[in-house]
Amino acid sequence: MSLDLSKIPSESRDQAKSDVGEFVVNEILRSLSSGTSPVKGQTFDKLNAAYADEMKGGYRTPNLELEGDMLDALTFETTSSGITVGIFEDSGQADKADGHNNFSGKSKLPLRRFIPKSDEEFKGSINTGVRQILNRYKRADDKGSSSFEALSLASAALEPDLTIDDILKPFLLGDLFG
Amino acid sequence: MASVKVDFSSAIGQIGEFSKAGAKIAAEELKKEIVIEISEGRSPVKSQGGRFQGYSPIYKTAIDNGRYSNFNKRKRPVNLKLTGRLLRSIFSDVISSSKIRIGFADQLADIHNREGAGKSKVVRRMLPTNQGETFTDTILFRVGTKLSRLAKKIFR
Repeated sequence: MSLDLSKIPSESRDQAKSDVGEFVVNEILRSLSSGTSPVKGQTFDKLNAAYADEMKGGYRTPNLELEGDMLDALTFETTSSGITVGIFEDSGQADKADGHNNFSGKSKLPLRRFIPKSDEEFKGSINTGVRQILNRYKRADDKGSSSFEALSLASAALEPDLTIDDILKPFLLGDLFG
Repeated sequence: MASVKVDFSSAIGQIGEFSKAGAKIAAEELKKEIVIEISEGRSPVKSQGGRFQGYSPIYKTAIDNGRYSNFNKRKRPVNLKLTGRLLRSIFSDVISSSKIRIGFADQLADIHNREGAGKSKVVRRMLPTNQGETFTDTILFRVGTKLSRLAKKIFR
């Protein structure tokens, strides 16, 4: 996943990429919990009733979770231009993940893609969130007309008492006046 | 009990009358999002690894053996839910028009969030109670979007 980091100061880019990576992984997991694909245009069929009865106590939502090992392995790595999200070979779960995503073209399982192929993308709400995260790391001059966006999550998180006023500000006012 | 204070003052105070409604709505939205995340097996706390650590082998065996079948307990997701009492104990206080406090009243919250549960003392973070911590961007994104939509309605 390539990210536009051009307006983010170099000293903030690693943190920005890390934040985006954590967000995207969490969003994938959230989609899967409700049995929906995080990939634009992809849908999941419900679980076969017989399989659900036998393996999941009748629960037919396709959340791709039985023992949880595969989704535990979902993670991200930062690259020079952005992040790579996936289930990597060293986890021992990559074959299982390919069974659902079928990048290899060899899977016999119903297609339930939770990682976009090279010609696909995540659904819009995820991309919107990514843009907002990157925006809070941009130089103040590059954030657009809203001066309210100058405060960043990073600085707010260092306050001794938990405050999310500064954190919510980019989401609130950036959207309101942007 | 575990709780955190959340200060919205500079975020919503700048848009006048929205702040009173905003604090209440923000509290409700935060509570909803926290419960969703925990119910689906993820920590609401940023940089805590996302998914909760799996249950212990002993606990999983007990689930397999039907010990908790009355509660329809499954090995996944790791949702800190058996009777549901803990998650139902989430509360919020509106301290002022722009400050709220959110927490779990049940004593199990502090065990999961700070002390650690079971023999192995596994900590599963439920609230960002340590200095420098915050909620995940997944939660903040949704709460922010909700409040933004509300503000647009008010100012339309």
